[in-house]
Amino acid sequence: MCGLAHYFESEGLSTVLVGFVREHMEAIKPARGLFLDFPMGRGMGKPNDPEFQKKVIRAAFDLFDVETGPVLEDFPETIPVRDGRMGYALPPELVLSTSDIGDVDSLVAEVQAEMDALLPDFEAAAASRGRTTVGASELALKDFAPFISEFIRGEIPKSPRKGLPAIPLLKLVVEDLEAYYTETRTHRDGIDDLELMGKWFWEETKAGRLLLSLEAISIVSDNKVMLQIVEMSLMAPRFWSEGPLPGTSAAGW
Amino acid sequence: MWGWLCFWAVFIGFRITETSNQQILLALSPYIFQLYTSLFGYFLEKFKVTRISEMPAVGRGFISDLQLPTFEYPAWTKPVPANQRRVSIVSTAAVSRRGDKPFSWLAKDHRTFHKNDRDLVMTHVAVEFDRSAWQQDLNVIIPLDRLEEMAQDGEIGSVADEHYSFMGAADPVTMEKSARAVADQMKQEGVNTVFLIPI
Repeated sequence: MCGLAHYFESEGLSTVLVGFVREHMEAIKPARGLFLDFPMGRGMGKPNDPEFQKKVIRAAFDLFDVETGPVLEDFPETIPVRDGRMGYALPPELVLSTSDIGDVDSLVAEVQAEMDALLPDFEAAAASRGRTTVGASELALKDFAPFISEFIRGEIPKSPRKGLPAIPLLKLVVEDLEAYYTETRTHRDGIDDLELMGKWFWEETKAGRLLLSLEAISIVSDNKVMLQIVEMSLMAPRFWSEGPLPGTSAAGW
Repeated sequence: MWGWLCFWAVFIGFRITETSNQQILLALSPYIFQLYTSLFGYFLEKFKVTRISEMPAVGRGFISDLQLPTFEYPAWTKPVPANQRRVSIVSTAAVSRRGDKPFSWLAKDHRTFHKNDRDLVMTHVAVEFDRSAWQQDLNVIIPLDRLEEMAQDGEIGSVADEHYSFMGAADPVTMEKSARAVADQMKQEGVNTVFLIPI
């Protein structure tokens, strides 16, 4: 992001950026930077809080009044992160092995039932917000779990989406599945708590178990891309864990 | 913290009532010390900055090992007055309009969306950031409504019609060509101010 700022600035456009990693901002020295001590994914701080969001924007735009640069300031308010991690992390001990998976058909049926139960609240959430972020994969809701289950059975299915191979599509389906759950819950229960949402989805739902089963299969897969997905924490949220997923080195990065 | 302060305030009040005036200062001294300690801890926590060294192992290792671009001559463009600012957002959240081509995992290219677009999806490769916030409110990562309000209030000149998204996981050096193409588009639209927001 800091590098992009340099390109725009050098094209005669005045830039200001906000950022979450102060050391990177210090090193790259964008023309104007506002450091935010917030969890990643929350650049304007708080959802549905227009005044707080404007406070961040105004603090950033105030840097245009500084005559010379580069200038780096800290936003005066913080949104605490837990134990230095900038997002939810699965507990390191919560790892499934292939022998834990059990009957895949039963698991898929349980996920489908869970999704059906959430559907009215999902639709209410989308109607209330006027939008949903679910759908990057372009698969129908009913196809999420069956598509994922094919990988759990050790197969790499043919991608149903033209121009997008099966494994990149799998990642989008996984993220769509999680978004379906968290969009529903944040609206239904009025929750804005990334730790609680992560814990609920990954540790308590059948969908979370389906994805941990997928992770268990991926880690023993002969497919290098599947293995890379878990090595790089691109599917299950282990990036902020204290130590790599057992059986991996986290060296994929 | 405030609970402890209330507790000590009540406790000190009781001690005052049962202590002669000459003994008050001596009796209070340990509690005053604790009060100062609590206040010091509170402000220390409030102004503490999250550093890479405090992050958990996997993330810390990755973020510390990133090769950062350096620029021998950092660019600087003099800003226009606030009421003349035409602002375009550049996000590295890899968002795009529903139906657009998804970003590849290390994409060098960008996507464009209109200031009235709200039906956006995200195809960012990483999962280490919180996605539940933008699911609730687009403005928490792309504050189009906030900028529009600020334009109406005269805090800025106007909001650009077009805004831009990149894949934040990719090396920014590989995005230079695309970034310069975006800059050309911005200038054609009269944009003079860029607000960059990571995910």
